[in-house]
Amino acid sequence: MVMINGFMVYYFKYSTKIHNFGINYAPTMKKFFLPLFGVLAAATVQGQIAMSSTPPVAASLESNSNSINVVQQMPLVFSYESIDDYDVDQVIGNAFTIELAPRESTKFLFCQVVFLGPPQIGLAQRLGLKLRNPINVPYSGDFNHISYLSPQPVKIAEIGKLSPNTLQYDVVLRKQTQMEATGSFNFTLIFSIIDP
Amino acid sequence: MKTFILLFGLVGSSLAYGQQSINGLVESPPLSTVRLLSSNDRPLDFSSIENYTNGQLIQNYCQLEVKSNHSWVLSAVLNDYSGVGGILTSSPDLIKVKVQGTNQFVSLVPGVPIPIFVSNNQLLRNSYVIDVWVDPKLKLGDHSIKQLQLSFQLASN
Repeated sequence: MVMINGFMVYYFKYSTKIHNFGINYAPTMKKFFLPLFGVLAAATVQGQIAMSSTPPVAASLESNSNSINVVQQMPLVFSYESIDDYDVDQVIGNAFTIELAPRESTKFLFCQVVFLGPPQIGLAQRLGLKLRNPINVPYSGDFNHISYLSPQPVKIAEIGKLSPNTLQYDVVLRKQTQMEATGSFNFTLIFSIIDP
Repeated sequence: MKTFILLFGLVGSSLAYGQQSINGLVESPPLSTVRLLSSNDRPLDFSSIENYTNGQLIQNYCQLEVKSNHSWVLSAVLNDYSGVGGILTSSPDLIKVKVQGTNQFVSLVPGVPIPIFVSNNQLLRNSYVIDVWVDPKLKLGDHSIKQLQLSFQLASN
């Protein structure tokens, strides 16, 4: 008699690869980039001064109805610890708020996602935003659903005259069924508010 | 003058529409697992001479679920052969396994992971049914009870 019994389940977890990105400028480009760095440095200083006291920010928002201020509430880090994490949506609740200036007419709010490094189309297509407490903020679609992002700007909200001036957003990374590139991938969410 | 034009252009574009950005990170390390979904574990009775000459086929012996976010290779190991004596070493084809849908049984070697299947699609989750063929070739005739143990493991490919 031969009996076969028992199984062992093996689980493998591998260390994370981190990709570093760098930019090398040719010496001949100094003439172009030095003024640019000067402008960026000036903008940074201006931002620090503005954040140190409330009135300048409020004055700035009121003076330009297309002003936008994105305030990050939570780190936008999605970290998969188990293969089962891919089976469910990964959600960062109340990830950031968007402060808008008072307006006399409807504005369109756009967002695009830019991943750094190698192409990661699958990741960009799975990344989405969900508006919390969407009172008086009509979407281009049903605001109960998630607006999924792309490398091109996607309209995520229409801001009417009576819409609230502060919008809260969750960030969602949709569940996954296909293999994608593994590693660490930096991304940037770019928000724009424009007139229709 | 060029610097002034560049500065003016940047300020002008920032006033045309409001724009801001925030940064984030997705960490997706290589992860994988294999799980036993079901098994058809039962004693085998070698009471006739045909059981020895032809062996016994256990169809649908078990079902495995493989989940991985990268390419993988599935191996089977004949783990526990204590009590069998020297039979296994003298009968390398005693235990064979096959993933249903493939053509050939693969002979197992005690204590050595033997690849039996390699990922062939981009799906994150797959399940496979395993057949086992026990083929003693007239070498288990001492009326003793033999216990064998199979395990399956996953590695990146």
